[in-house]
Amino acid sequence: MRAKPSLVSSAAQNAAEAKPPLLTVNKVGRIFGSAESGVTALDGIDMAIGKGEFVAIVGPSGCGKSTLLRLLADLDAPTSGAITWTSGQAGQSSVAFQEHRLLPWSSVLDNIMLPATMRRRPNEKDRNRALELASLVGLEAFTKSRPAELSGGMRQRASVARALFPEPDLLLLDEPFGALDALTREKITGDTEEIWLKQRFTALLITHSIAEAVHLADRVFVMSPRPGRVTHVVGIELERPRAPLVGSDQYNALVNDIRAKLQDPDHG
Amino acid sequence: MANSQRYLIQATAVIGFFLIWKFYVEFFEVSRLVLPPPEQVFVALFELFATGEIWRHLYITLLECLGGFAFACIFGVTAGMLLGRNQMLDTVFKPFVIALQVTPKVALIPLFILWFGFGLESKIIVSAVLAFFPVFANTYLGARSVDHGLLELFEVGKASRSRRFAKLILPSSLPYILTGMEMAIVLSIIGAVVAEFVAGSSGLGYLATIKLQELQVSSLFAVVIVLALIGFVLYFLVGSLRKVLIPWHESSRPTTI
Ligand SMILES: Nc1ncnc2c1ncn2[C@@H]1O[C@H](COP(=O)(O)OP(=O)(O)OP(=O)(O)O)[C@@H](O)[C@H]1O
Ligand SMILES: [Mg+2]
Repeated sequence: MRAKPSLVSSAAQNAAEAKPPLLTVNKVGRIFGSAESGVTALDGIDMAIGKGEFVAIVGPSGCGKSTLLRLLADLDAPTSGAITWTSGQAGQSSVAFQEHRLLPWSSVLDNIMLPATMRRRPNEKDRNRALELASLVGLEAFTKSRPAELSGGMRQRASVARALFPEPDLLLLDEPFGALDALTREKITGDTEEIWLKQRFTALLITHSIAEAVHLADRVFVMSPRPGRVTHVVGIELERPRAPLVGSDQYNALVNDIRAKLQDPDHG
Repeated sequence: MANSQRYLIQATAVIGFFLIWKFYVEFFEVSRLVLPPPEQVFVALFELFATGEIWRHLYITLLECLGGFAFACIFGVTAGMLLGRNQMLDTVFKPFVIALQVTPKVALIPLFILWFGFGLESKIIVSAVLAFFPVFANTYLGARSVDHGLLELFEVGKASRSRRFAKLILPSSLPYILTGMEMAIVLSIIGAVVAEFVAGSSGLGYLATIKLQELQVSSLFAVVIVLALIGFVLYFLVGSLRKVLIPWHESSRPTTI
């Protein structure tokens, strides 16, 4: 599972972005309740996500990030605007929800290979892949435990492993590392980047950690409080893998830039 | 409290109960036809087994109530799942199910006897009809209570309907189904016995009516004790399914707080 570090130039990334996008979010709005007195969770969201691109969304609590994720996963429909997939039909997505959503009656291993079990009887290959992912997120000693026997952070890691299990067209991660300590979090972020470098799936990460967004994303979307709008898009042109860059001046400059944009949505 | 301590307290309570019973019968000179003293009941109980009289009746009643229980589980779980997960079926059939529940089913016994005869079939059906509702109602609640987040997870994963049922809805409803089954096993015994009272030619309910006619009150008590013991054993067996089928569920944990 672990990729050998390979340096990818930012020029190659730009080339990737130039390809037709995987999907386009066009003036999407989502209002909960009635049109007049409802809560406007999202307003005029425009974004195009390239095939193989890693994008991150940062924004204050309650700004509509999870709402956008549900729209992308086709669990909810926008009240205005549209999400169109370039291929013409919605692709397969895989989600690590904000809550872990593990099956309480299944072991960690069975939970990780649930994406396979949902469709067919899992085979030996599925088991091996689930075992690999379990050790990737540091749960190799807990594959037989049930979720109730895990810590909060361990449950979250199991949930991320499950999201990584299929090879989806679009991977959606909603605050996947929120319950982890700083060091574990940095390690898992680095591991996620390595998997991504190897498999190059399209991914969207929602996070409250700006550093994490800078570590993983090609582009960071900054959102404003309700009604949720995208106020800034910051391209991250650092070389990958970025683990060695964490804490460098270049890296910190980007983090600070995004923090300023979050604090003051109107300027940039 | 230590287990041994708890057993000691329980044993003392049971012995105390029999002592009070004995004391009451002797001291107030209660007629043997109203309440025989405990030792007479035990003798009668012993005789029921010693003469072998009871075995045939015990077998028949067990057959009836287990048959009724099995049907109640099959139909109750199926109906509960269908109505719980399908809005259309729910709308159409809910009134019928409620009507069935609010009707005093004991009043239907003569009708069942008319339809299905005096044999085992009518007893099994009465037992099943009585035991159906708790299984249905609990399964229905279980099917309705499946976590929405987990349903979404299966939606995103494009799970087929059958896989979603087998891997999510059924396991998630099991704690409810088992609760329904615990209630149903007791009702299925009641159903069988009452049907035997009304139109039996064998079974423990029938035996009780015979003992009453012969004014053998001690034996009547003995039959009741046998029925209670059957209830205990069956209830315990169904209850212990919990530990086997849903060890992950909170209800399988000892209560410590
Ligand atoms: N099902 C719903 N019904 C009504 N309002 C909703 C619903 N889901 C979300 N909202 C509202 O939409 C807004 C955005 O919610 P959302 O969950 O998308 O926030 P978020 O950006 O993910 O926040 P957080 O970072 O805290 O997870 C909130 O004001 C919330 O109250
Ligand atoms: Mg959220």
